[in-house]
Amino acid sequence: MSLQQDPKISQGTVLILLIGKFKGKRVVFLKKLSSGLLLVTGPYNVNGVPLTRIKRKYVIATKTKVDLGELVVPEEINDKFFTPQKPINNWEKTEEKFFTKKQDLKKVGLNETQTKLQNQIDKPIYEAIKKVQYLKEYLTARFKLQKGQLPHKMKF
Amino acid sequence: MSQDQKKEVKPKKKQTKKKKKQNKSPRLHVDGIFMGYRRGLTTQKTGTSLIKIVGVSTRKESEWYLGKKVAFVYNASRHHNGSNVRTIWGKITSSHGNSGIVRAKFKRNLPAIAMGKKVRVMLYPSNI
Repeated sequence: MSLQQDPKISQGTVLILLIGKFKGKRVVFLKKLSSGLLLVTGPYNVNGVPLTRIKRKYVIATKTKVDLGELVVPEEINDKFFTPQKPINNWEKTEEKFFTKKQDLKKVGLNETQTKLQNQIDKPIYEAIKKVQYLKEYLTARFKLQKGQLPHKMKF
Repeated sequence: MSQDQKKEVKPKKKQTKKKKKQNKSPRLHVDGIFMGYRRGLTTQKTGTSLIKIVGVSTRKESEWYLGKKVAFVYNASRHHNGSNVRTIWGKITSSHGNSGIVRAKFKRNLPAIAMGKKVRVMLYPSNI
């Protein structure tokens, strides 16, 4: 759980996700959470990546940096924010539940506070992105290795 | 079929274009080839595999890949959880020799059928 400063990653650094649903996406780093995971956001309206957290080892840090100034991430966005909401486990034997499919029951979408915080964070980041030429297109495009590209020779 | 019907059925070659899959999953791995097991002349140690990574030809270049995860991906006939694609995961443990070949240990040893087949060297755990 060390909170040592990584020289390559600071607020606003563009990271490339290597694993998970959003692999290949370029996202903006916000802060390092107390669990050691990195908090990132797409922003959501740019490349569809919401506020997520990832491990440092599943990420490539690039030189590109979004100038966020002194963006203060709300205290509410911490590890507890990401713990999944409890799924319905108790199968009470009621008629209604008997006829609903299990998949439909378990769906718990984002609640109001989550979407509100997402928009709150994304707005200043999106403003900062718009100022730099091609930065929005850069964040929309996914990273992929093409023929002839060798990662050990690439400079990120 | 009448002449008119025949004309309707045939589409013009110039107009039809295959829709490119725009959101294709990006390639985030480097291809490698499973050369064989670690061995002396007459005996092989199947616990360690030798991997030749594409584009890596010196020992120094191969050091970048040390510790990276490797996956041997193959198809089976039986579907399990909706897919018949299976993987054997491993990681690159050390360099092997001076020409960029690398040693890898897999969770379960690679099958001999895999010799000469492709293996995927992932970019994680990354320290870039």
